[in-house]
Amino acid sequence: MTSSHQPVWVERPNRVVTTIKGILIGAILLVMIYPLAYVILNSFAGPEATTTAGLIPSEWSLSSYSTIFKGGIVQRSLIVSILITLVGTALSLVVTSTLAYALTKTRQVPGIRPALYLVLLTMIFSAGIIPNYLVVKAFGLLDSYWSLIVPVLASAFNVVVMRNFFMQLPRELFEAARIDGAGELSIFIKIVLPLSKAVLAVIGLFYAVSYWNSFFNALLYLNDSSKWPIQLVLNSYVLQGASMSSMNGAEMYNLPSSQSVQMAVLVTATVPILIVYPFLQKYFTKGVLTGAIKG
Amino acid sequence: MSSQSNSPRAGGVPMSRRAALGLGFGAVAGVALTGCASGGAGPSGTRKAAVPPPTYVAPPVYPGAIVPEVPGVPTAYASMPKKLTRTVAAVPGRGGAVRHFHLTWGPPATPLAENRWWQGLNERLGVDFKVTEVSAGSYDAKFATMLAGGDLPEVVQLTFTAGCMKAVKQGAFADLSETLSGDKVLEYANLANVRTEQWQACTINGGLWGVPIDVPVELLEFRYRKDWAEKVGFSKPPADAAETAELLVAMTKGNPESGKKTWGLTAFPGMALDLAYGMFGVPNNWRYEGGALTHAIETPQFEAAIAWLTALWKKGGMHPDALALGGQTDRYRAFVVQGQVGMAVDSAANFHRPNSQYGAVVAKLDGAFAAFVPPGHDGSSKAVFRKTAGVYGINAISAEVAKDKERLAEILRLLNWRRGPVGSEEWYYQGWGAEGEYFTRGDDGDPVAVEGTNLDADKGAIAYGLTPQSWIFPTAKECVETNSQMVRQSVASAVEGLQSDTQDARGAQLDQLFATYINQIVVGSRPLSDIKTYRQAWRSQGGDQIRREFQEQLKRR
Repeated sequence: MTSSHQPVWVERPNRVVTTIKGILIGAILLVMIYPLAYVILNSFAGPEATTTAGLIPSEWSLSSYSTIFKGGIVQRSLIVSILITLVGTALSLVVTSTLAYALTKTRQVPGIRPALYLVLLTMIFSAGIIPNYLVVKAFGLLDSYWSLIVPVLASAFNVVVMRNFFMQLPRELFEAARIDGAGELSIFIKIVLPLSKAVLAVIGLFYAVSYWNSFFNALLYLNDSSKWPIQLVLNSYVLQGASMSSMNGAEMYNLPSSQSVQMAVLVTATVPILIVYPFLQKYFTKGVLTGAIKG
Repeated sequence: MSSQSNSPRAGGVPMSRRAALGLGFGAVAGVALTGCASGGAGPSGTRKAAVPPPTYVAPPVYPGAIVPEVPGVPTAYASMPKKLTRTVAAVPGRGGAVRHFHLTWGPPATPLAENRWWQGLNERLGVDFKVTEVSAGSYDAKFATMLAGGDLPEVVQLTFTAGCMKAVKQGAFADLSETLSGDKVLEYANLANVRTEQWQACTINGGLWGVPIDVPVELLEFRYRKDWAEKVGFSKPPADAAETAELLVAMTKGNPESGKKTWGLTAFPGMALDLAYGMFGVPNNWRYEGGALTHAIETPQFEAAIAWLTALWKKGGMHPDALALGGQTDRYRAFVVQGQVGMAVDSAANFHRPNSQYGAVVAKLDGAFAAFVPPGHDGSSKAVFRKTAGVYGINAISAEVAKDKERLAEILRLLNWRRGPVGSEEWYYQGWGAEGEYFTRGDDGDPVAVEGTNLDADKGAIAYGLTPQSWIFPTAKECVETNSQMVRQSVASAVEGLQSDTQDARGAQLDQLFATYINQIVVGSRPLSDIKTYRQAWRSQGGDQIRREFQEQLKRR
């Protein structure tokens, strides 16, 4: 390679290439944005509006939102989801960070390495739906909100990412703290956690999204529909009439166009968690990459 | 709806079998149910000595009733019965909790604390009624885990899927054949209104596994846009298959609704298959002649129906997204509601009930969205439709619970109350709630729903499958007439009420085969001659085995 060849990022951008890139990125963006815009705009479609033809409904209305908020089910499920997400994320972060920190002590504490392998094992082998159900039942968690939190309190992947992040923190800091008389708990709380805001934010987001999207566990473990989180309610709306009611004899009532109702529930179920993203964006790349690259 | 997937009883596609199989349903159920069998039927394959089916007592009729001559067509009323009868004298419950596992088709019920209708129901039933709601799409997973956990609720709504049938055969549910046999059912008088063929549909291996979820034997009604047809030159309903195709193409291309895109048909398989099967007289699932079973797909009628659909597609008589719309009922229906579909099929009641989506469209179009019975393919023969026993599923009672005879009797009393016939106080409350809270009286005395309540969704979640079918709407007479004609021209499946393990195990695979071949043939991606390859594949992948299993049972009958 001759010296005249500069790395690509140093070269002046070629206008044609830049234009092509712009068009490509624009097209990809459009593909991403269109369904989102379609869902949002059509959630405001009136009962008589065309919801199948295009992006812009022919008639605007809030009737879909008034329908889904009428029985109080959606509000209640939103509250359930928010609480599950907040409590679950907080507890998951506590459990994950303490476990990850403990697992960094493979040289200092005997038995930590086998414990690490046990954690890793859960990434390869999953217990399966029914054994999980039996465990939840045995702990008396059926029909309890805790059934949505306790079984998924710590994810092995997140533990590994966080452990790797902790492993990169300068050991000198810990040694200095020890010389100053700090114990492991003090080091963890006063040094490790403040230096790990990026990974905590990212893992917190991972947990928050997974708690927010909690569907299957809720389906299996919650019998009382008043305890359903938003995703389960969303499912019931999306599937409303999905099975030909001509086959099951169920009645079809004069609700607003069920598609606009589905869109409205979808928007309601998506917006709260989307709001969190911009606030954590700056940590996102840093946290994931730092934790993931070095093992 | 593919030809293979038709439930032997309901005639429809209750739900995916894949999920059940993916969960290892059978093995799980087998483990979980050890020691759980009632005194009912033995394991699969054993048969009990026959007991008489429950005695049938026709439900009472009230002045103004339109009593159909054809069995299986619901008795209908143009207006609400004026005088209500109380059919259950005593409060049926003993005060404890009674749990149900319900299929739902819509949003969940309003929680009990805020649900006056549910509270009123509890007062009337004398129990704390609890319900676990599950949408059809999630049914298999939820049912499998509940079964494995050994905590089946007192009443479970079963469909005729592999997982449910396996659980039945393994003894998870109480056999009611002795308890309700003959006149014993009269102790639960409203249950005696269940037709004998419906009880038979709930009978497997000699055991009676619950109270049927009532549906009309022929649910469907076909409608077409008469105004469009007249605009494009058809003054009468089409007289044969060729004319039907011409009309559908004209509805798509003839711009009958100026400025609005329209289509003749919008969904395949869905209604397109119902229409083609009907016109060409494709047998209902299986035909039994001369001691041999022939499946619908093996008949020349099937081939003719598919050829007709292929030609229709080629001429542009269907929506270009018809294949996708075949699985998207909401979108398909939205087209109908928005007046963009020339021909539609759905449950008759949905067209006739003024408060349904279609009812509003029918009323708005003032006769232009007319009911019709599709013609026979050649104009001289009649179309042949598919009837069922009128059972969508079974309200089964847990075998564990039924060990306590008093508890079993209580649950049957509760089911009896819930099945109060049309014109009874019990039926009225379940349909309309309490006067003042949920409805007021119109000038004619008929109930007028109070706006803003969530009763429709609540009923769907809490009462589905427990109450009898009721057809009460101003156009009841027309509905009964059309439905009677449909039923007269319909046939039952030869294997109605029979079980095939291979069908249970491989149904999903065979459905997929249908989609792979027939969907592609219809849209022109495969030649029509591939029907032969499809038939061979179908036979080798389980069709012949299913035939053998059904045939053995038919010979034993």
